[in-house]
Amino acid sequence: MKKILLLTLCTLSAIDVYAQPKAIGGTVADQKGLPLPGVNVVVVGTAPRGTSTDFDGKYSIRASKGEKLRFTYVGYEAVVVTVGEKEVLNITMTPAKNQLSELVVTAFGVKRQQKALGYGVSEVSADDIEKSGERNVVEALAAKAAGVQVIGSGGTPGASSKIIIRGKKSISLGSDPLIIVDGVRVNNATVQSKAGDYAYNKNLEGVNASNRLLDLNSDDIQNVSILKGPAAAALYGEGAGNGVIIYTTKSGKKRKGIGIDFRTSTELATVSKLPKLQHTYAAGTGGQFKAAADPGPDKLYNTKDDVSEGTSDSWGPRAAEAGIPLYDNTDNFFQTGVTQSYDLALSGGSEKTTFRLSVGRTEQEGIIPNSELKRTSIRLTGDTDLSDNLKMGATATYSYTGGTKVQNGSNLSGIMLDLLTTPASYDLRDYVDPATGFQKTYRASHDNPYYSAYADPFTDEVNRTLGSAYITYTPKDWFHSTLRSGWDVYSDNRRQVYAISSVGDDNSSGKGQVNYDRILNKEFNVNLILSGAVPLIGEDILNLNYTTGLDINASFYDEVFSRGRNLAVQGIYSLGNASELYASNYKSKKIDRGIYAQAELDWKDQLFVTASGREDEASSYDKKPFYPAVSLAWVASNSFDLPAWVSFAKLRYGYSESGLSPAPYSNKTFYTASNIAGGYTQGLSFPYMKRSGMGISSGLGDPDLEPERLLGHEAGLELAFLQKRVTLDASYYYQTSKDVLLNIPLAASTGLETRYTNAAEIVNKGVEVDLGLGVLRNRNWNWGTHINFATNDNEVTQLADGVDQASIESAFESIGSYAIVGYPLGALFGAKWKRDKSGNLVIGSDGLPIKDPESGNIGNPAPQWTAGIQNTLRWKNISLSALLDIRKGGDIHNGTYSLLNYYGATAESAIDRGKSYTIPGVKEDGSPNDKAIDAQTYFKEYVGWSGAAEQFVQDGGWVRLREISLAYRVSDFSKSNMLNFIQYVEFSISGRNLWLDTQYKGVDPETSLTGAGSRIDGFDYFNNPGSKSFAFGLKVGF
Amino acid sequence: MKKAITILTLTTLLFYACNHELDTFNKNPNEVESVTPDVMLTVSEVATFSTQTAELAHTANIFTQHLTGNDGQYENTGRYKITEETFNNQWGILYHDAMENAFLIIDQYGADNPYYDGMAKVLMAINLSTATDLWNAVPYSDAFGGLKGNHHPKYQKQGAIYDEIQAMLGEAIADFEKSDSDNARIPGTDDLIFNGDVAKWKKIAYVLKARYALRLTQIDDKAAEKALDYINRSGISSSQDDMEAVFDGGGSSTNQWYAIQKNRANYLKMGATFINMMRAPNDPRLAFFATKDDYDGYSGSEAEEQDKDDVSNIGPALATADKNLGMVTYVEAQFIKAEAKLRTDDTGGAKTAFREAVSASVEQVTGKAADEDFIKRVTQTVDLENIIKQKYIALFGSLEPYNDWRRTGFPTLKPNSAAQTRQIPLRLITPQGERLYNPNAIVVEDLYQPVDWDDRD
Repeated sequence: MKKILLLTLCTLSAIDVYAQPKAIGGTVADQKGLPLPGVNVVVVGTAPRGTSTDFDGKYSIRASKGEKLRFTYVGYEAVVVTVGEKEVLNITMTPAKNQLSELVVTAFGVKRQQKALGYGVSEVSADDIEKSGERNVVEALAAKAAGVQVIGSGGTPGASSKIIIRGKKSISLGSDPLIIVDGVRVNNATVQSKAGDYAYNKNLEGVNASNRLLDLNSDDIQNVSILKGPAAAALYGEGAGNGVIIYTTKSGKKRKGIGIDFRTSTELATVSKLPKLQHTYAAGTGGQFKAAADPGPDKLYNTKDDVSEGTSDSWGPRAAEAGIPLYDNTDNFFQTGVTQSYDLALSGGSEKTTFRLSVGRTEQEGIIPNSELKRTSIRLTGDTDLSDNLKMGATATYSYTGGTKVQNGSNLSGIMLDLLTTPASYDLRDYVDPATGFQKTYRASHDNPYYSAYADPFTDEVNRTLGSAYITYTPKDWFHSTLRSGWDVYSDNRRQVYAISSVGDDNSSGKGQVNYDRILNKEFNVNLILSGAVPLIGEDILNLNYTTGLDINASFYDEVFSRGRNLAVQGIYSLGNASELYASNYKSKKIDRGIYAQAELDWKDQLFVTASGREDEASSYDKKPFYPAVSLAWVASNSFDLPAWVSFAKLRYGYSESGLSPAPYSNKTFYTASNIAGGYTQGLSFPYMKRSGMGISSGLGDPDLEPERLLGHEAGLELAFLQKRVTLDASYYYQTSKDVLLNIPLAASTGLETRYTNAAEIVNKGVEVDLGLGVLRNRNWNWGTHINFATNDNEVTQLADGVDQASIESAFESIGSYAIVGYPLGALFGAKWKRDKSGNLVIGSDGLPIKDPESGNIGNPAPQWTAGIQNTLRWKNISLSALLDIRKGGDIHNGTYSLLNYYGATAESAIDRGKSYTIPGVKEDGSPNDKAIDAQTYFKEYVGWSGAAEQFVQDGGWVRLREISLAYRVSDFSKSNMLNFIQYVEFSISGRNLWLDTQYKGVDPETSLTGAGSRIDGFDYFNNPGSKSFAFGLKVGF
Repeated sequence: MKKAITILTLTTLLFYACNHELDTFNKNPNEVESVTPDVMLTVSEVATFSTQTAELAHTANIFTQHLTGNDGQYENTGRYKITEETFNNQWGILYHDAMENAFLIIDQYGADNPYYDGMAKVLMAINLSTATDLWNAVPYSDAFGGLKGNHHPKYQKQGAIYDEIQAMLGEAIADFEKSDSDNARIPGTDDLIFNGDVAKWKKIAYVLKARYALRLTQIDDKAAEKALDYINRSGISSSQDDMEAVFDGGGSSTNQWYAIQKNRANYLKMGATFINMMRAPNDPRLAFFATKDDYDGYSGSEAEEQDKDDVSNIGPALATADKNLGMVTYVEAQFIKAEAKLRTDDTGGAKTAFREAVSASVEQVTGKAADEDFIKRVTQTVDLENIIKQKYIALFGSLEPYNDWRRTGFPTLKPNSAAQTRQIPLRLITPQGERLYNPNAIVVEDLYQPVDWDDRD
């Protein structure tokens, strides 16, 4: 491979183009404004000469006035223009009739004709991103493309969103696709802050951390290309096993003067859905009222002088009868979140140079008090032609993303835990004792949610710069070279405080705590791409396009965590105010290098064969894996005369391999400072009483680790009918993940608990359908419908010898997410009820069902199918669009519901408390159960927390109106002398999640306790709720 | 041509520039590949603090009705609802944190460091006995093979396990008798328990031999005789010799009774059985073993009573953030002596030891010398039931009362009648990890299948 590369370079020679009177240049683009690379530009006449456009559709050629320039491009109508006075000639090319020749961005930013591809690529446009109203460019992809699942973690500002393409493929490496922005790898990690001595899964509590693609300004995005299968992603080799998402940002265009685009929007968000709570009964048990916690004279809970501990139980008396006032705490608590965003972009250019400068600012206030997000981003992009065949450019962004996050999930200061379990007879609004600054709460061991929000904030501040620079040399059609180098560097400064009296601190001591967490992440990337087009037989019979290159990526992560406990003075969060200090750090670095080559043969514009290969080397393993790919596309409509109503027909097939490489330092066994978990306490850890302790790690490393391999078959059919009014793109894929890395569980009696090695196999197969319908098209009306539909069937087909079950990431004792042979990856496994042969519950002598001593499969968080239906209706200048998002299935363990039932807080627990319940089932002797139990026992022990986990697994499917927007655009100002400097004005009103239909008894089921940084889904344990919103927007172009 | 050369040079540079990084980037800056025995000893000791005073001890004390599993997950324990997942973590702490590190000290450093070897063997013995007392047949001689590729350890019967325990304690005693010069490295502050004092370790090793000999009273006619012999050889002379789990109240080193009470208030409450036992004779330890209830008195809940928050909590003798907890004590040694003497028909000797046991306990718990009348009153009857009853009080918080109850049937306990099974568990279920990943595991899913030394017939 190396030799071929060098040979190619050696045979290279540079020839200057024959000098001509003047230089003509410009950009060749398609109708959408997407630049076309490789367009042939020929001066027609006595001395024919030519060039072709570069990667960005730019060309430059010398020609005299009066000469004709002919632009030709496969699949497009030829364009001929006569050279006049102008030196800038921008060309728009339209697709040839009977062609579906849209260009798509493929691996390494290479734009290829869609018809030549032997695999499916989904594209999302800037317009689609904008319409979503999302500030997170990951969440903005939700329901936009078949086979691309987005899981948000909640409605708080900056909460992470996770993306899963064509199902989960890895047990230990997560599902995050590779993210490329303008040809450069970009970090999208979601990092949860926790001290090194924390013994449990840090994703289960804390705040909803952000996924770092949040730093990208959605207004800078021109286009998103999603490479879903390995065939599409094979050129990226070891990084691409989970698919690749390529974001292309906007760049400048040659134009007269400077163009200005301004956009602003105001969004008003409210909480979308909450569990139904009862407003009938007061605090207490067995009908007896129990007063709220009383901290005694010192005003601090959990101290010796406490008078009472309070309760979360709402099994007290009927409030109306007992004369106890009730409060609507949830209604009081949530607020309308207001988001303001502003985007200003300046763009322009001269003959040789173009630029775009954009500034964006977003200020978001959440639906939970004191939660907010602020983001500022500045991006400058410039390109310049140094000579006819040499050009360079660069793009750079600086962004600041920061905000305040609130506690989520399973900790004692979790907002929803405290808000929802508080008995209605307690008014949470009186949350602080003004004299001491200590909290007032209903139950000594829980925080008041107001206090948690205001006194225990998490603040973060991310300063990030990313960008790239390139130089392109294109001496010949058959030889283009681009050297590109990129960087992505960010620092993340975080602070979490817990005021004195809050029990959110690690030990629930109430003594106050402050954590500082500093992360510095650096990634660098260099790639060299050589490409060209070589006509092999004739001009239009057999053509070869080749791409070959070198790709180097290095990443460096450095985190230092420090913590101070036992604060002396309330409200001072410096480490100097703490009497017990702790620090931990984590560093890692990784480098990988790949060389690749790809050849595409194009036979008479009918048959396209592409073959590629990549070889990788990386610091985290000792092998040199090779990833081959081959694909075939046959445009049948160019081979046969099909009936006139068939506009286009294509069949495709691809086979390929890509990989996922192991994390650094995972191929050895180390000694570590152990954490000895205590079950329900923070346990014991090191340093212990100022003594270090290092024990053998519980995981055994494997020196022969290699990357996981994804082997994929993909076949597809693309059809277009009736002048492309109806388009259909259907794919079937069968992807096998082999050598999947996993922590093979070991029986602890071996002295160790896991062995990390390549062992498992997972199969994902599915169907994706994209259907486009141009329902109505005339002068004034345009109604289009776009439907995407996808199924994915996931199965763990093998784990390791003697192992048919492995935990993916720890969740709860009663339920977890596992890899189990024969089940989908991530299936929920947990406590089940014991059943007889005919499936009846077996009821014990106490009238309650008996738990099966063995756990079993009780749900699958992956949906059965997903669909998005986008309708766009345009009448003259008014457009209305709506996106319906459907998710069928997708189980969630509703831990919130189980605990709310237990405490008698749910509406259903209050329907009839006088009733006695006889649970249908059989007694252990087989006779029908006849033992009645009271309501409190029923809700606590059966349909509440003490019941088996299976009782709380609920269908998380939905139908939702994810987006709806109405826009009015005026773009004809040329007749007005006063306003002719305006290009367009657009007003819009839009809504997000305005309608949601779901069986789920809790918050919006698009929720994730563990967030995008976690490998497991399907858990709701007092997750912060989702939001719905209205937004008003204004866009102006000058 | 110049440009071609430039590109060529650049490519070559790019290609070879990162070879060094590819080779060196995988050196782990965060964790080490080898250690010394001192840091492993500390881990094994702290893990032993956990196995002897945390979740397993909480559970045993619920079973023995010192406590009631009142809320949360312990409510299930109080109803004897135990699954194979319940003790997965505890099994891991026993075999991985506590015993594997002890094993590695013995295996890698034992020969050159007899003191470390002995300490590791004592820790191994304590944890292995905890495992076998709760799970009966467990692996030992085939265990700890993870690093060497043995991933399916064979189980040994309890009798064989106890033979191993007696043997390793004998070896530990021999180790402690060696001189400092026989050691490459001398333990010091890394030994959180005795700060490297091997004389104390030796005493404890003997007391443990006695404890484990007496464990077998149901199946070994010579159990008491052996136990008496070991106690006499131990030389343990006061509570100064106690082997304690040490805590200083720091965030990473907090007493686990305090931690559970603080983090999960009301998960555990005082049991009525235990409180009542102390109330009648006006036991001075009551105010130290329990806090006042909501009515300014001392009360516990019956096994059936759960979700009852107004009764007493665990008192400061156990649940204080920086309170050390006895794991092997002088008090226990005196109780062992009393029982052993009683069983060898030396009633007079039994009485002396019994009185000493109770007095030492009172003094240890209350900080004051015991009232003679009280001691007289409670030690008047010198029979097995009364000795075990007083031992049950004195060793509150430890795992021993649960073993004694199974071994002797004392004190008489009335099981939680609201529990589905209406019987106090006689053991724990095989942990899930063993059932799933060790084909050689002897899997028992029945909480009522007694362990081998618990010969009920």
